[in-house]
Amino acid sequence: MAHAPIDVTDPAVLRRLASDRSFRERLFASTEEELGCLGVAVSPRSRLALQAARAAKLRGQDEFREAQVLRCSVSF
Amino acid sequence: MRVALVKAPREDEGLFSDNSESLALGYLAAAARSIGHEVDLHNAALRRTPRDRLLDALLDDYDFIGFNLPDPTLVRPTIELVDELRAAGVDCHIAVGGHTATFHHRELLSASSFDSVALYEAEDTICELLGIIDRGGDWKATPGLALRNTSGHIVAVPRTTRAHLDDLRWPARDDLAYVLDHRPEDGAVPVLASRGCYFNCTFCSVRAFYEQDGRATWRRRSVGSVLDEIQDLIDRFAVSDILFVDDLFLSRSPATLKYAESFAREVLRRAQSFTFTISATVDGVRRETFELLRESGLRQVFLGAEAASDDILRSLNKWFRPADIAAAVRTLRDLGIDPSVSFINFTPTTRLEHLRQNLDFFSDLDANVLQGLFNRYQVYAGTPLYASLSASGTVTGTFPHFGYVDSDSRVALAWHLCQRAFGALNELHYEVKRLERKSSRAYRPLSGPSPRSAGLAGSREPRELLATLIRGLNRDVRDLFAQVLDFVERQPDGRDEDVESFVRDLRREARTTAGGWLKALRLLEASHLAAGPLSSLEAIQDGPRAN
Repeated sequence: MAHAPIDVTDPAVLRRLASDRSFRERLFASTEEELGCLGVAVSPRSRLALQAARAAKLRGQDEFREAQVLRCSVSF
Repeated sequence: MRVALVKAPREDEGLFSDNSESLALGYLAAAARSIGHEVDLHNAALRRTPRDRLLDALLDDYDFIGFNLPDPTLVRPTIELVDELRAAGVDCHIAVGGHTATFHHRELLSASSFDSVALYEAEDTICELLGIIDRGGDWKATPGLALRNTSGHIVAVPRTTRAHLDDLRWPARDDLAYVLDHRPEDGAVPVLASRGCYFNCTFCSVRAFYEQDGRATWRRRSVGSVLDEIQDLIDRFAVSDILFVDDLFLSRSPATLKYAESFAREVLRRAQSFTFTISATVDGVRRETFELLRESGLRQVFLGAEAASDDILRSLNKWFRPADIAAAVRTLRDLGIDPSVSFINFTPTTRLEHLRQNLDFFSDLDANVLQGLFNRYQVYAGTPLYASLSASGTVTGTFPHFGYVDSDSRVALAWHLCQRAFGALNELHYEVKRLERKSSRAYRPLSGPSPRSAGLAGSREPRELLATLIRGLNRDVRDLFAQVLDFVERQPDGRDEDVESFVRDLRREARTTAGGWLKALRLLEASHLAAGPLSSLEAIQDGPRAN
């Protein structure tokens, strides 16, 4: 099936990411070759943007620290 | 005299990351320098200075060392540092100040070898103290200090707060160049236009810190002085984005509204070009005032919305209604100002139905629900709630870390589940906040490009795309949190084996969700917030904290 090529720097991609979970997962899990099959144009800027996105790592904190509700931003 | 003013390194950054200067240290340094003392600032919390290195630096024959202690998490690192300094033979006067130090001066003087605690606002106290020490006089009668007297009793000597803020020297900016170089995205440039607050929110210690004779105080600097300081920052550091860290910049009070309008008019009259962020109370958002502020450069407003139900708002001593929150957010968005909406999801009087109300209300508002969903009231000394919880015997823990007993055991279980399952959302929250700041700064349709955001001027698109992502993220976070509420409703007693299995599955799902959104946010950053050539994208790959 033919796809119209999309560029990951296109705002439409981000809007789709916000609403389509499976698209989100496919986009970040696919290799460059697979992205081509998905119709994603892999321009130099797209490639770097995707690499940047994939480099995002969680710190893996298991315990949620109690969020601090601090109203005293400046004190003496 | 040689003076060191210090903020200890944090043991664990958590959500108390120091990414901007300490104005407290800056004000004190400026005051001490103005009377001829030589002052070094050591903000180890900001610079992530290892403790050993800080210790070495403080062994440099200072005549006076002052520590800033604004929050309970710094108590232990600060006490340990002081103990090590004393063990290494340092015998100069060591003082400590700040909100936590003020409200816990007895515990601090009992548990450590501080000579004194500088209570409340400390510029005048420190200057007087330094003068007395320099002359070899008896410093124990210095107004504004708490100390152990000769018989070992802890006593506090009162001092009247200064009436006018314009007399204060502008804060020293020793750390600003460092912040701009090392934390260009995280670090805001803080400015203080006023001190104190008229209100008495039960979770806040600001009123108690600044009140005089039991009366709330709010003192402001003159508009001219504030704008002169900002111009000085623009001239010296080429900054373009200011964060007002006032306890109360703007509220429904006529005095604050009038001040904000005068400020905006003067910015426009002077044709000063900078953007800024303020805090405002929900009921202080008036269209005509904010139109003027918007025109003068206001880009983001922090709103302490706190809760979506009338009874919780009343319990926190907030006198607006949920409908007012929605109206304020709508007004700000209409004007193109970003509302940053925070709430306290878990309070001592919260019941399970309140958690559901908060979830629905703040999700429907399209606020970033991460900025509140996992907020739990922190028990700070000096707050009305601390007093009432103490009176009812429901404060738990010991100095410096206090907690409370939930009135609804189902809420306690929900909090327990959130703590155990949603660690991954913490990181996501940090990223959303960072990109909110970055996209807000990128939007700058004022005359002349900002020196520090050249290439990004004028585009609303990143903010709109980020808002789109936040709406999607909210849906997922809402689903995750709703699972917690559903579980607690089904099993209010939380049988161990069911809890373990539920937490395991939920944690996995939260990690997957957070990981996906983190990548989506990074894609937004790389495609729409990386100014300039492709090489700037390469820097993003290493993440925001790679310095």
